[in-house]
Amino acid sequence: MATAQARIETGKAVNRRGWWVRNQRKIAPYLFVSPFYILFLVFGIYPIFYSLIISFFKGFGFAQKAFYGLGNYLFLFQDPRFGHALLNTTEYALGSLLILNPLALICALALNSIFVRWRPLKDFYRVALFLPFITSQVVITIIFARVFDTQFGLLNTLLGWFGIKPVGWLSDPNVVMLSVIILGVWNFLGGTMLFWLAGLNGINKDFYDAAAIDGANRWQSFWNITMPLLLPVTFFVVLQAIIGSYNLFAPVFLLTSGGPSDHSLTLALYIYNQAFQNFNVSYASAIAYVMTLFLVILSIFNIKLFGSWGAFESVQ
Amino acid sequence: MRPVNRRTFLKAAGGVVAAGGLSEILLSGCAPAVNTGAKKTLNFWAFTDTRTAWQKKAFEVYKKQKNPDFEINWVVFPYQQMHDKILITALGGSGGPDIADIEISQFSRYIKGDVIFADLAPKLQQMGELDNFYQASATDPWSWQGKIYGLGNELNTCLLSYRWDVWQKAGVKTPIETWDEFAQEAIRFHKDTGNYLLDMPFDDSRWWWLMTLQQGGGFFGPNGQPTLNSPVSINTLTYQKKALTDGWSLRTQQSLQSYNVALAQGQIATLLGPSWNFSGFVQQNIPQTKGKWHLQPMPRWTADGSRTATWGGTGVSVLKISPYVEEAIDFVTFEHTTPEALLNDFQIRQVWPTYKPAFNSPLLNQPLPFFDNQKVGDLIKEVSPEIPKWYNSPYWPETTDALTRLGVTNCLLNPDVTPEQALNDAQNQAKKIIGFETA
Repeated sequence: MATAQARIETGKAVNRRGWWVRNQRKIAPYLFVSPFYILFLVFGIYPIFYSLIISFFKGFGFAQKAFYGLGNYLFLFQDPRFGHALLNTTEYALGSLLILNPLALICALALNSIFVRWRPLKDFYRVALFLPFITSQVVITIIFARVFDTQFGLLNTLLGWFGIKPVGWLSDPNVVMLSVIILGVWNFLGGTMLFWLAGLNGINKDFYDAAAIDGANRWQSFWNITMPLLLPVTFFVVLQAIIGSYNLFAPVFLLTSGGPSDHSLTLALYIYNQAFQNFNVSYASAIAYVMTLFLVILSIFNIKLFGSWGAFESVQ
Repeated sequence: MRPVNRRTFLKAAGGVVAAGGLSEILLSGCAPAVNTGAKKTLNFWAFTDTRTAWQKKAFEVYKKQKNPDFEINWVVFPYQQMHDKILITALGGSGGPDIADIEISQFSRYIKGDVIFADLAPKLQQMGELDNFYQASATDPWSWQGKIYGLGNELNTCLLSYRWDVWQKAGVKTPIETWDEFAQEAIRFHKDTGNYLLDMPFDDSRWWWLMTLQQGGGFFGPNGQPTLNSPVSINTLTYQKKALTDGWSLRTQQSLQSYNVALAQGQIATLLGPSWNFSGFVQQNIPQTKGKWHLQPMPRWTADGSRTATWGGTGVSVLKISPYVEEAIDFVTFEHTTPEALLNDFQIRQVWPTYKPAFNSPLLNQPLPFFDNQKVGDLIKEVSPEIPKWYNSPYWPETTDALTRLGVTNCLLNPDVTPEQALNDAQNQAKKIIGFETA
C-alpha cells in the first residue's frame, strides 16, 4: 500500500517535472522579458490610465475625489492660461519646424558636401555642433540666462557694439518666446543635423551620376533627387520636432517660469504647475489628455500628408 | 563534482533569491519595520544641511537635558522632492517622516484637504510659551483656522539694507523715515549719479509683499480668501509704478546674476528683506561688499505705521501619522524655546531667533563686521514687535501666482495698465481658480 502511495507521489512529481521540461522553452522567453513588462505596466500603463480616470474627478491631490464628469475639460476651454500655453507652445513648435529643421539640413548638406574635402574639419564641426545636444538642458539654460541678461548679457553687449539698444530677451513679452526658440535651436541643431546626415548618406550616389549625365545641375539634383529621397527622414524629423516642442519644459521652467505674465508658459509647464504647485492633479490630467489628443491629431495629419507625397514608398 | 551548467546555475540562483525573499517575509513579522533596537528612531526630513546642522546640535542639548528614549535619523532631500514626498507618504499612510522642515510657500498644499500635521498649540499653551514668540515669523506662517501646525525659529524681521559708502558719497540722508522721503532722496540720487536707490522686481511680488504687509495688508484675509485688490495693496503698486514712471527706480529680475553685479557696483544701492537676504544671500553672492552695508528700519507709510514686515521662513512640523507624535512635539517645542539650542543657529547661519527670551544673550547683539560693526541684533529687537499679523491660506500658490502674473508684472511692464486694474484682474483670477477648485 505504502509502496503504491509512494509510486503515485513520485509519479506526480515526475509529471510536474515533465510538464516543466515540456513547456519551459515556451515559457522561459516570457519569464525573461516579464520584468520589463511588469515595470512598464506598473509605472507606465497604470499611471496613464489612472490619470485618464482622475481627469473626470475633482479634488485635492490624489485623495478626496468627487466625480466631476467633463467639468475639467469644459473649464479648460474657458481657461485663458491654457490658451496662452497652447499658443506659446505652438510658436515654439513652428520655430523648430521653420528655423531649426532647415538650419540643421543646411549644416548637414555643408558637412556632406564634396567641396569640404578636409576630413578633420568636417569631424570638428560634426562634434562641435553635436556637443550642445548631449549637454544637460539645465546647464545650457543657466548659461543662456547669462547670455540673455538685459543689462549685462553677452547678447546685448554684442548688439551694443553695433549701436543696438538692449533687448529684454527674457523680460519683453514680445521677445521672450524668440529667446526660447534661439536656445532650442542651439540645443538641438546638432542632433537634428545627424538625422539629416544619416538620410543624406543613405542616398545612392548613382542617382546623382545619372542626373549629371542627363544634364541636371546641382540645384536640380537637390530638388529632384535629394529632397524626395529625404522625405522619410523629413517625416521623422518633423514629427520629432512637433512632439519634442509640445513637451518643452526645462528651459522655460528654469529661465522664465513661464513669465513675463504667461508669455512663455508652455503646456508641459502649465501641467506641472497645476499638478505640483496647485496640486490640482485632476485638472492637470485633463490638460495632459487634451495635449495628447492634439499631438495624435497632428501626427495623423503628418502621416497622411507625407503619405500623399510618397514618403513611405520604398525607393530602389 | 557536478559541472555547473546554465540550468543548475539558474536553479541555484533562483533558490537563493526565493530563500532570501521568504526569510525576509517571515522575519519581518517578528519586529517593527522601523524600530528594531531598544530605542525608538524618529525620522526627520529636511531640504538643507544648514538647517539640520543647528537642529542636530539642538538635539544634543535635548538629550543632555531630557535623556529621551529615542534617536533622530536625519534625512536631507532636494527641496521640491522632499515636499512632494511628505505629501504623498502622508496620503499613503506610511513611509514618511515623523518631523519635517516645511518651507513657507509649500505649507499651503498641506492644509488643502485634511491637515496632515499635528497641532502644536495645546503644547505651547501648556508650556505657557505662546506669547514668548514673535508670532508673525514663528507661528503665523504655519497656522490655519486657529491651529498651529509648525514652528519657525527664523525671525524674518525685514529691514532696509543700504550701501552706506554709496549713500554717503551721494549725500543721501540717513535714516530715511518715510517712503515719500525715500522717493525724494531717490529722485535726487538718480539725478546726481545715474544710479538707483532701489529697484522694482517685475517678475515676482517680493517688494510688493513687504510694503503691503507693512500697511497691514497681505495676500489673504482671516478667512483665507485673497485680498489682492485691497486699498493698501493698490497703494503699494501705485508707489512702485510711480517710481518707474518718475525714473528713479529700475525694473529688475532679481533671480539673474546681473542683480548681484548691480548691487556690487552700487548701481542699485538698497535692498529690502530679512536676515537670510541681507546677511545670507548678500554675503554669499557679493562677499566683496563686506563692511559696506548698513541697516535701518524700513521707512514707514504713515506717521505711526510699522517699520518692518516679515518674509519667508521654514518651520518644523510634526506629522499626525507618526507613531511618536508626543515625542516629536516635545523635541520641536524644546528646540524652539531653548535659547542654548537657538543660539547655535545664530552661530551657524546668523539667524536671529523668534523666541523673545533668547534676545537676552549678548551674542545676538554683537557688532557684525559685514555691516561695518553695526549692532544688528539691537535693531531687530527694536522693530520686531511691529511686524503686522498676517494670514496664510490653502490657496497660496494660486493667489501669489495670479498676483505676480496679472498684478505686479502686468502693471510694471505695461504703461497702460493701472495698479487698480491689474490688481482687480489678479484678484478676480485668483478667486476664479479657487472657485473652480472648490466647486
